[in-house]
Amino acid sequence: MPETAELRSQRTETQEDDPIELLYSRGLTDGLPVVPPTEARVKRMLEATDRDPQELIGTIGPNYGRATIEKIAINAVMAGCHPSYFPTVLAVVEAACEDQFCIHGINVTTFSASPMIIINGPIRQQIGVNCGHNAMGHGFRANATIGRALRLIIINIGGAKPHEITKATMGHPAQYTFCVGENEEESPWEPLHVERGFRADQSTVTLFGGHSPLQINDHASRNAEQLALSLGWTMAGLWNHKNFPLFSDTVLVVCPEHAKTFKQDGWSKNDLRQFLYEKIRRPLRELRPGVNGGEGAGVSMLRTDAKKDREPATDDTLFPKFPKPENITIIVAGGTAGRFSAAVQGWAGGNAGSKITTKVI
Amino acid sequence: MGEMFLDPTDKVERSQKVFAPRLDTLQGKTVGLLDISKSKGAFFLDRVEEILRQQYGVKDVLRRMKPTVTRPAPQPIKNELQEKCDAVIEALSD
Amino acid sequence: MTTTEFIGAAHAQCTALGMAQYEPILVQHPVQPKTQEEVRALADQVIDQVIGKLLKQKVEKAA
Repeated sequence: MPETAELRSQRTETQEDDPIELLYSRGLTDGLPVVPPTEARVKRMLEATDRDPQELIGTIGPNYGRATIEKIAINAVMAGCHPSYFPTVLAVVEAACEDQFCIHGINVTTFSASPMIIINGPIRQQIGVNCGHNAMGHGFRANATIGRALRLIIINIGGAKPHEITKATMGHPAQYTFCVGENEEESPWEPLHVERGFRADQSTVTLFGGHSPLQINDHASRNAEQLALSLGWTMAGLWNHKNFPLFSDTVLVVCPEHAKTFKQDGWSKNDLRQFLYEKIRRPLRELRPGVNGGEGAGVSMLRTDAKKDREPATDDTLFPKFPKPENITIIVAGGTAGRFSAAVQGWAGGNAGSKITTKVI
Repeated sequence: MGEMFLDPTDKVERSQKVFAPRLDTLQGKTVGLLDISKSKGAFFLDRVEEILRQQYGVKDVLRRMKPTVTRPAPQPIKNELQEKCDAVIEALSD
Repeated sequence: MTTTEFIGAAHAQCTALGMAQYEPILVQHPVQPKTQEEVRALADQVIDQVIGKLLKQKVEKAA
């Protein structure tokens, strides 16, 4: 923090001897107790950056509150972040504020979307981001608090509070925090940030507007094709069993043991996503609304094909689950024991929704 | 004295918007109908358009739809509605 | 216009946009599972409110 910089946030004195209860009563938490953001704690957080506390990173919908460096630091303190996490938190907020990420839509949808944060590069070791066992679970301060900082920013700066403007029907636990490091060391493939055009020695955050993870068990498949079909047909139920194709991206989190199976048959990430695109398909007759589900494809599927100058679809026409191979993002994460991968389905994607967004830390 | 803590929220002062003057009549007017792209919303606006034309003597109804339900209406659509319409109805959030 | 389930969200968004005094017209939630005829009936139910929001005062329909 520059020496001449000043903090401008309003100060409140707690009249009682329990500031945690005061913060609850003001509606400033995610439901869990927060660390009181005293001036001393906020200044310590700001010492992790040279940037001016009044620098505006962006605005957060639905309230379009201003996420300044100072306000981000206050929320990072409340989340329990160590000051060494602060540059990562800033990169997360920069990504969230990108117009293409559509944070406003993610914050108010009934879909229960939440930003999933994927961290790559050396920062993982520097600040202790967990990439191995329990990668998407509890127990590690960096994972827990970096994701939580973003949620508190969404609540306190963005104004997205449940039962008010946030109308997620079900919600899910990853809305508290959803931050995972890619297990680059156990991956046979290029890490995500290198795929997306960054150097391996750069540290990045990638944000994805996703749902809760669907864990996929497969302890028996012995080759890449068998395993890919197992994962793919389980993912065929994402969103709804008749939603072919999805209107969103999907993140496939491949566990290290499954990654080894793909490696032994020489499959790249592109081989896997191309295979899933080509093989996970169902005919239109199985996708129509009916006794096995009123939500399904219909007349619009026939019209869509006609619009694209293809033969009009018939009941036998196969529709892919994944709109294009590039709509499947693949990372490796998780522990080296156990064959459970996970799929995270996305909110509306592309130009109509949220795009996966990466920022350098 | 208790502990002092810093406010994590942004207290944004909003100037209150002034609404456009209400019309004396819909006869001879152009009414914009903005569909927010949620499912079935078009059926609602179809009926509103019928009523406006048949019962209120509007000159024209301008139908526009947001390209996506996930974002506010793009500025060109807003500009067009503002320029061409005497009144606008936006529906239907669900 | 919004459905009854979203009135809180609508008020919050209006406030954020500097229109705290605006009252959206409500229709009964939900809309998405309704048939075309049911949705048209919703429009019939609220059309007077809609017209009322556009005009200075209640006027007679055109002959």
